[in-house]
Amino acid sequence: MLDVLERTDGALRLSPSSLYASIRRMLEQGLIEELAERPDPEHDDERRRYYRLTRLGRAVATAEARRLERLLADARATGLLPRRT
Amino acid sequence: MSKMPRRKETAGARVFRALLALYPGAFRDEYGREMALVFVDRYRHAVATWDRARLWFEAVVGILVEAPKEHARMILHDLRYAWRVLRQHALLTTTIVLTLALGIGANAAVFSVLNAVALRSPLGVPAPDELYTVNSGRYLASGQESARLSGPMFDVLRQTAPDGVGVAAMSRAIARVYTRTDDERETTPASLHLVSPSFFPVLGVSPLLGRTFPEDQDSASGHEPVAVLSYAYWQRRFGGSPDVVGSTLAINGTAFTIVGVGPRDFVGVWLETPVDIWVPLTMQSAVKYSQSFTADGADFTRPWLPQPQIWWLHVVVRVPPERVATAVGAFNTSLSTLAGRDISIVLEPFARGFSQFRQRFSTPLVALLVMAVLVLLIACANVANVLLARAVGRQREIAIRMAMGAGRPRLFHQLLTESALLVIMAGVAAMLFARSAGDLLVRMATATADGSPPFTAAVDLRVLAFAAVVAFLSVVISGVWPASRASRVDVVSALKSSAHAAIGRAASPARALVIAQVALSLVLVTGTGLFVRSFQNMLNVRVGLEPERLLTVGVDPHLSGTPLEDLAEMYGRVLSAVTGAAGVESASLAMCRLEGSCAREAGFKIEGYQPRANERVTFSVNAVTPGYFSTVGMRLIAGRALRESDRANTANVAVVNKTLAMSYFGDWRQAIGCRFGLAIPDIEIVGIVDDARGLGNLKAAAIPSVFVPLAQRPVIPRALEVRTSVDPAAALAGVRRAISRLAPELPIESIEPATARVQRNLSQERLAVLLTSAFSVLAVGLAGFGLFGVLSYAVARRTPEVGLRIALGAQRSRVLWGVVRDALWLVTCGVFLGLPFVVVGSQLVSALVFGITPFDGVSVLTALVVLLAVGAACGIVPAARAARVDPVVALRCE
Repeated sequence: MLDVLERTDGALRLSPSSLYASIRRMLEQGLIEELAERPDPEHDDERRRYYRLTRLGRAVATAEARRLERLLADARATGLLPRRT
Repeated sequence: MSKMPRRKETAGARVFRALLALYPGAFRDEYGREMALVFVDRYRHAVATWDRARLWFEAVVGILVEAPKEHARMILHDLRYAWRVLRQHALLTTTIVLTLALGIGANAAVFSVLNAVALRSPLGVPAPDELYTVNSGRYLASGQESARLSGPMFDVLRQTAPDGVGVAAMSRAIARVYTRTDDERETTPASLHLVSPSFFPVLGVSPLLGRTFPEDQDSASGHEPVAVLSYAYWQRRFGGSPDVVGSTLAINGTAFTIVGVGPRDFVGVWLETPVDIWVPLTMQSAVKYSQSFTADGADFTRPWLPQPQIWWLHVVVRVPPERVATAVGAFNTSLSTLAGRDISIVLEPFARGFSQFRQRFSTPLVALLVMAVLVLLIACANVANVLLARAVGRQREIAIRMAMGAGRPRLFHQLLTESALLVIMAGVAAMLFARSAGDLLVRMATATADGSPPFTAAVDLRVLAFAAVVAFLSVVISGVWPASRASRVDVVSALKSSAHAAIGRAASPARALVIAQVALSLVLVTGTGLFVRSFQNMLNVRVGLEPERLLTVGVDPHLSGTPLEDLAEMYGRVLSAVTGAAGVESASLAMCRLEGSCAREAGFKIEGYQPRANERVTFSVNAVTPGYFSTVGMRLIAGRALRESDRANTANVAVVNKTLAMSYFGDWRQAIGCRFGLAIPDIEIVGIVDDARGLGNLKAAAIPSVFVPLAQRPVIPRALEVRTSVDPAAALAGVRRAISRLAPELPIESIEPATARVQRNLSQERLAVLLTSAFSVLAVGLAGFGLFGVLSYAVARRTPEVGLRIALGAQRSRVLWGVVRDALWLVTCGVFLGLPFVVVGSQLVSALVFGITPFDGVSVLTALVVLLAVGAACGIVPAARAARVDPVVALRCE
């Protein structure tokens, strides 16, 4: 959660409720799946539950990133954003 | 990250955990622990007060936003699932929905009528709860809504009312009058209410156009003929033209100036009788109002308002509820001073106005509502039974879902959603049904000839709320138990066991439900029996009249414009005209119609009779023309009837009824030749007639009644009774023609066969019989259906056992009897459970039945026989199936 906050420069603040609501939604849509096995007790944290992207999840994330990439390119081409130097 | 040491939970974490309760259980179970841990972790990182405040804000808002979403998502999911399950069993679903719809609809329909007559304020006035009507002693005792008061009594009340208390008076009846505008030739009828000028201000009604009556007209001196029209009448008769104010309208021959039009939603204070025209009380003689009064030595020909001996007014007051006691005290003092004796009145709530329908039908409606509730309970029991049975069939499905990790609360929720969905569908269907059923009920109860109900049983918010509560309770009753049982599946055994073993477990609650159904059915069937027997008694009651071949005509010679001294001549003309009409045997005029008691006069003195202390001898006095008794079919049992020779200038004579003769003369035959009278006993009893009941109320026993010659009493006859030799309906046109040819000035108010009047009177009983029968059939049908289901399951479960017994040589008849005996045993248990309720229910309807004791052995026994017969019938089919079992097949199944 703090990770998200940092990565978005504080623009996206996740509360515990919105975090788990998104997790539940992504689980339901089959974008992520929960891992059954846990890492070594050494590196484990009881609070953690481990999820990984499914194939579908990865495909969706890639597609979304592509879409954003195109959008960005368009924005730059039309001068909405400064061209990359 | 290293493993975190367990810490003592902080207060913040506890609060957060408590907030998590807002989530659905399933979500909480899944993520609650993690969410709390994440929160605590962040809480520890946030040191500054600002950061903590922000964290709290985010956490609380997040939960408040997300938790309802989760709930909605779950409900939606459950609904979708429930819909799929219900659609898979379309036939069963339809049956359940229709059963519940009928149950809920019947309740909503009855309630909507009850709401319209007894709960809703139909007055359309502001703050109706501040309105009260003046009632007292004997009017209260006889169940009337308001006392009758005289003009001077009203004056006193008005003058001595405490500050802030408004007092208004109105004539007891709404009169039918004939109106004509300046450019019309024919008159048209309208309904008119005489009211005091304070009527509109006290009710809080302001005119839409013009004005109402100036307050000073409350005194007898104000004699300006002015009228206020109702909105509906203004629209109907004058097309809503604003020019109507200031124009003239002739009412019963007197020219009135229209000064105002009432507001759209105000139709007067009588629920069933919308008013067209209001005029001041002082106009009583101008509009020739002469009905519905009690009098004691009054002169009816003079204006009534100043006369203390004519009680013809109802009084309504507006008083804040907390000042009611003060007002009652002030009124009692002033009325007692006026009367010279102690008078004590009560103020009764008037928020709902007057209603004869309410007086007659409130108790029947409550009884009906109770019955409707019973039917719904039976329907719910059936639904519960079906759901239980299905839950058993679904044990494997449920066990599988549990094995896959669904929690019990989650399953319970899911199963309950299914019954909720059933009830919602049923509820929607029920409201469609209730809308038309409520109006149908009103129409049947009021039995109006033209089929238009006098008021509508609208489905308003209160009815909707009632239906919602009923539906909710239906879910609880029919759904909760099956759902909780079904979700209590032992996964391992359910997955292992065969279907047969599973059915065995459902049997005992299902049997309990059937027993309850039988108990409720017993109450309903017994109730129906009571109403049927009561109805029979009313059909067979000795009326003391012969209503067959009797035509009753309502007339109003008052309105004919004939001078008083010429009225007698006109009566003769009318009688000879009618007698000459085709199919007419005889005709007679009377002051009162055959409804019931006539004008009650009090304070009679009887020769040789010593009244008890405080006893005021009161008779119902009717004035009739000779031939009256033979015309209406009253039997003369002693002495002679009234004759043409009994004239104004001959000795005063009277014929009395048997009740009067028995009450005051011991041996009734001795009444002949005795005298009675008001001031002095100057009327000789020359004959005695058998008792007759009023056609308007066959339940009421005859009261002491006197019949005097019309020639000896200056009253206006309002009834023309015609004995016909043919079907009275066939003679009707001829009679009407004869009157309009030979006495065209006499307006005919109504004309109908007396039997039609009797039929109308029986409408309440007929309705009770019809509806309770319908409810009973429904109840017995549902209970039978339930019983049949339970027995069928029992047989299916025991098929191997039965097969084994038959294989071992058991007789098929014994097997047959075994199942039927089981059915009869269930019915018997239900009967014993139901008997106490029958006793309680009988008390409730005791006021409604006639000629039988409320706990009527015949009705109970009949109900018992019906239920046992239905029980046996429901047992026969499964029993036959059991007896036909082929032992080889049955044993191979196992």
